[in-house]
Amino acid sequence: MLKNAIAKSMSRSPWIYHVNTGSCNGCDIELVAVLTPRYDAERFGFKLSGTPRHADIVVISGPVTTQSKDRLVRTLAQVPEPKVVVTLGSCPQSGNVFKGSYSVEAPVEKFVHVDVAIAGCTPKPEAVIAGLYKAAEILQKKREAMTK
Amino acid sequence: MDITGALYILFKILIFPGLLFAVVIGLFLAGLDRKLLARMQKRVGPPLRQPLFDFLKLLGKETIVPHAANKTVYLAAPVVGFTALIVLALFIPVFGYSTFSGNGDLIVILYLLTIPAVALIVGGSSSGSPYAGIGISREMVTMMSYELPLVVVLLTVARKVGGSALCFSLGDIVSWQAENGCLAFHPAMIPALLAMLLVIPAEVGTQPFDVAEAETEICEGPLIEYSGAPLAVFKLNTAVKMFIMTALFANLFFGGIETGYVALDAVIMVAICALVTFFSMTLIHAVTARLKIEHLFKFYWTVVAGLAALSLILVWVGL
Amino acid sequence: MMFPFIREALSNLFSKPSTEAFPAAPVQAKPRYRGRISYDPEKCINCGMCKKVCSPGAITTEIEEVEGGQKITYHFDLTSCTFCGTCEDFCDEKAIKLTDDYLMVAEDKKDLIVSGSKIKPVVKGKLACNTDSCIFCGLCAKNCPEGAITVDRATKSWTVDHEKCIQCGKCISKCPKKVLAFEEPAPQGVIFGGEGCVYCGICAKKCPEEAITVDRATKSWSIDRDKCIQCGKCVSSCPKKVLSMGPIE
Repeated sequence: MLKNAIAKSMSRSPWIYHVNTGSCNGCDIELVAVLTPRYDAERFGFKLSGTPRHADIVVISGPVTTQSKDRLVRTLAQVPEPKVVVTLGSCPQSGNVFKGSYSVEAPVEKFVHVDVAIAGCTPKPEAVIAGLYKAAEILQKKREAMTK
Repeated sequence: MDITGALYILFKILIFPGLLFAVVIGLFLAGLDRKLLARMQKRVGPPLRQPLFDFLKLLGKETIVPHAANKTVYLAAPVVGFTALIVLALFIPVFGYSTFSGNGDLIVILYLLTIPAVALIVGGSSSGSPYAGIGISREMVTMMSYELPLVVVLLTVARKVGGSALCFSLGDIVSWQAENGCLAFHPAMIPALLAMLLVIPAEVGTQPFDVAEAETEICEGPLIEYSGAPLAVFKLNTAVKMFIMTALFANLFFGGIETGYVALDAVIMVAICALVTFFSMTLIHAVTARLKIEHLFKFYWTVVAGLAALSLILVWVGL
Repeated sequence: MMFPFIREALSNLFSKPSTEAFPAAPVQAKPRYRGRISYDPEKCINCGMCKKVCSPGAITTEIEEVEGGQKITYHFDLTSCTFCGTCEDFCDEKAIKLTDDYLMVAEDKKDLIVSGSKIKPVVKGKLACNTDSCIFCGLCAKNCPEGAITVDRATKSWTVDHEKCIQCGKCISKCPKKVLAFEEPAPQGVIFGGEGCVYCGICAKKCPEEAITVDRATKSWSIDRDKCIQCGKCVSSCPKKVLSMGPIE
């Protein structure tokens, strides 16, 4: 019973850690907009956490610059299992307009498995909520798979 | 001791005024705080059960012990803090009745109240993170800031109730109020009441007095390296602390309300706790921004300590 | 006042929250929102202008030889798109449209690629008979499913009704003398009328492949036939209507 309750509360209280890997700040602002009174993601228990150790969902924005690549990999390694990785916007998936630059390492899929991709440049806050909601469901599935 | 007596004590410790009751009411107050805060910011806010979800979720997460950490101290710190809080819950009278009571239990409460903060400091320092280092230094300053007004408030209450004999027994304070009316309605105690209302948020660590755990600047300070079950216990500590502090407030200033029905008394107690949570934590959180550590120290040692001292002088001259 | 928001906080407590019930109640995007790309392959003339103007290079094409022509596929990678709408602006055929669908969330990256393909038929020429070697046996007329061919042995005449002919090629396979064939279509291209041209250079600007060069000073107009993809953009953009599409020598 406790196992079920824990798995269920996984999708009810996902804490977000946001990594900016050289983003233009557009996606970052939209992610914060999701927590404003108009969209209020806290309805579903979403909360921005200050440290990767508390995180359940890691949101990556930006085209992964060479400088931030190592930091990204190290940050992701510090997140306790189960965790879900979400890419925000076009940049982490492809590099967007920065692709082919000497200092850009995108796509992020080279370093980490991406669970949910939110497309858009930048995504509308509704799309961000939908993506994070999907990520929370995946989190619950991962927890159920861990305890099986 | 016979078996029923032992079971009764176990019941007291684990279920009624102890562990389960304190945890449930603490989580309820924490949920209420978040919901009301959200409503004041024109948001829908999380459900009332949200702190429970947070707690259960953290139980299901992997526990990571950093390489630089002292494993034993790191894992024991939250448990020590939690145990101290549960012992505290046994001292606080719920509807005029407490598990442990004695002559100087107010002093025991005062000392036990520092243990969760000390546990946070010890746990944070054992994690070996520089952010935790900044966090614990701030936590220590915060502790120093609110201890002085808290002691003065308790002294005022003791003087008011016991006269020149100074009554430090919480049970006696409650029964005195049953006879002479709540302390909150004595004009000389109003500044002390305000001071106590301002001590509660610093003790619990809510905004604007959460400088030690500022998640936007020092990444939750002492808690930075904690994950999984130990973090869950720390979060639970905050929730239980909410209950302990508001219940202590209720006993000090609104004690002695007795209707004769046990359940009704408990409901009144929880209602007072919820009201105090709203006025001392939620409302202040909603309308202020986080202070700097030096401002916090100055505020507590001038404004709050001044209010408490004013009350003490008024009581001392016999008002 | 020390706490300027205290009144607002307390009044908010007793008023309705301003939160949108988003996942429960769907939200319509504002007008002119640029969201998921929709691509209509039927309208597309494969000019490639969208590919050329796309700054992140999100548009790719694939050309595959299939039976009956070329299969041309356009892929719009939404994980690479900046949603600037330039492709929509530059598409003269209005085949690309940025819709107001903003929910572009996927677990699999393939769900975020919009594709469309069409088969461009290979144009066959008209049926023709080399009457010099023909023996006017009439086998072709007998085998024609549409009765489009008439052969008269007496007058040594062979005629075909091009309206009726479906270019099935049966007659060609039945012909004992192998004198029937589809004529090679004359190569198509842009024809420069000359008369009336003001050498404005709009055709050169519109050309997605930069095949046209116009020099105003020397009043010269030239086209690189190898580069030209016969999209017809220059023809439709010419203000003086001196360009046309047609067979070239």
